[in-house]
Amino acid sequence: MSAAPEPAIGPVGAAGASMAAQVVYEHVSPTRAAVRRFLRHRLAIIGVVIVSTILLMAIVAPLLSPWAPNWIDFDTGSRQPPSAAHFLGTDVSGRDIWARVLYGGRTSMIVGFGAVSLYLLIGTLLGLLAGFYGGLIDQVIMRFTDTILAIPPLLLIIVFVSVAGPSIRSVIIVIALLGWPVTCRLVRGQLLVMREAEFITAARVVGVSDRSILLRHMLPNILGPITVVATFGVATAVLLESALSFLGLGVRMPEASWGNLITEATSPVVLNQLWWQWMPAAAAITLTVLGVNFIGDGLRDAIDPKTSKRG
Amino acid sequence: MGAYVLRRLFISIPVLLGITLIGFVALKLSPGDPLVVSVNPEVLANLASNPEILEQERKRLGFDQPIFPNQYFRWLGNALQGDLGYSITSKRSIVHEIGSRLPQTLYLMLTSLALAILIGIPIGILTAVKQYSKTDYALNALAIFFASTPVFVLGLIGIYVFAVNLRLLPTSEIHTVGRTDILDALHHLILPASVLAIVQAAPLIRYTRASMLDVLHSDYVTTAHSKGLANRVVIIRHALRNGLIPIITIIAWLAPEAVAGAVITEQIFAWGGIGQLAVKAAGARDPSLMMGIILLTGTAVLIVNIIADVAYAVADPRVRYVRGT
Repeated sequence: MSAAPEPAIGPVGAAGASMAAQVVYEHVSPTRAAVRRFLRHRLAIIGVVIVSTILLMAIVAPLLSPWAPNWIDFDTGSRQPPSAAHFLGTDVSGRDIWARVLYGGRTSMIVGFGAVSLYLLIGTLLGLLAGFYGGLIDQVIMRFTDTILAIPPLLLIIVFVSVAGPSIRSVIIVIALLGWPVTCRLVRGQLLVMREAEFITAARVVGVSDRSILLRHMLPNILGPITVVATFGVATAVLLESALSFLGLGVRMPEASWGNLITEATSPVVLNQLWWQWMPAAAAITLTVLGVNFIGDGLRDAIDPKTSKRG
Repeated sequence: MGAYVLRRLFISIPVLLGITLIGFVALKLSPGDPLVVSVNPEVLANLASNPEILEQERKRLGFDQPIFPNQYFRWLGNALQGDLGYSITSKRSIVHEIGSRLPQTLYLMLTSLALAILIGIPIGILTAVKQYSKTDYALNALAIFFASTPVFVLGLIGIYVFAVNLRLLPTSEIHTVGRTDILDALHHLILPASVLAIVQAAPLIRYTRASMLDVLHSDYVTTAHSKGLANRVVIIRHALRNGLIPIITIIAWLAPEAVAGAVITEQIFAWGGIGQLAVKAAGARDPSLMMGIILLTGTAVLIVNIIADVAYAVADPRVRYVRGT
């Protein structure tokens, strides 16, 4: 389902040998073939390098900056230009911006991976139920996904985060509770096709239980597409978190987030003269999302080779 | 065709109910006295001195009954009659609050959508026709780049470059105070509309490219080529017609994204539309206002989708016979 094996035509055998022996297939498992295709995808590798660098910087943030992100440096003062002590200067309250960019990366990564793992769980579960059982369960779940998909996600998230009280935790939970419909639709769609497949019929005939068919026969086959959706989901979640925090409705000061670092730029002075206060965070978001999107493109092409021919 | 439209409308009913349910949940999750958000503040001010009358009023409005289904259906009935309650911050009715700002938002969104289509579709076609060329790679890279940049960063960079450094365009508001001429309005529209257009054009380019490539690789296009028709004729007369049909659906898919973009763009450019209202409502935790905006945008997106589906069925009769969900 997820990837076709890639037969490699080996060297033609000695002349005069029997016809059947002349074409030698190297056996490559679908997964290995996909991994090979991914490694050949130049942009995807660039994406992996970008994202792992940013991830690493977020993890070892304390080693890269002598300052704590919320520490107010009264000696240096507020809105200072870059210096030896403060790599990117200080913000309006005298906090080190370089440290805040690093720790903001942590926020973005936690929200990105946290929210997506949560909604993958919800979406996969509901998608499996809808696709496997069909009927009324399917109808109810699908109308529910349609409803959530009809309302602009940013608005819905803004509303529910404000009700829950803005914080990293509510941002993650709200994105997770509203982000699952895409995964759910995908899983359901794949299952509807697979339900009719011969290997499933075969499994039924030999008496495999529903649970086992779902989890051991069907689920492994849709892991590929789920990975692709998850990757693009991380990009979207990072963008959503930064937008919410930018609007002052997500991660709030003094907690560092790329979005709320950029909020500073809504003050004309910062926007016009103090570019180092907001441009690094802006570049960080764009780079991260770009990197994740590259990886997503690469994964999609690797898992479904047909798309790579088309773009 | 009529049957198709009816079926399409019919399956939208549960979704519409779902949207009202989510709006209602948003309203009920917010703390505070339900009287404040449902009674005209002027009337309430007169009643406020007398706790007994307030209690009667609560009873009259059914706030002592179970939230679901009693309160929900009562609220739904009022909503269908255009009574969405009152804003706790401005004390005005929700319908008035939203209605007075809707034109600004539509003005911004429709202009940017038109711009996005004008930029996105031709570029998408160009990249498909010149697949694997340097133009293709460059434009595609640009599209991915813009799709990865947050709207607010684009907006701020736009202001930084065009308003602050080049001093070509104004930074915010719909028009200069005291001026109402069209030239001034257009001048103010350029930056926000372009930012919003770029955000929508980026995915449009990629989808148009994919859709055109599908068609360009199909047999009938090969046939047209082998008949000896000029490349231009094949693309314009044969491929475009089918290649652009899926774009109808894609424009509808972009609607929720466009709303999200408008929320942020309006905030940056102090545009004074629904988007800015939404941020204000969430910041002040104004429940009825948030509920009203959810209802409005949800319904609008639903209608856009229905129109797109019907338009698709007109353009491609095959879908009328496929049982879709």
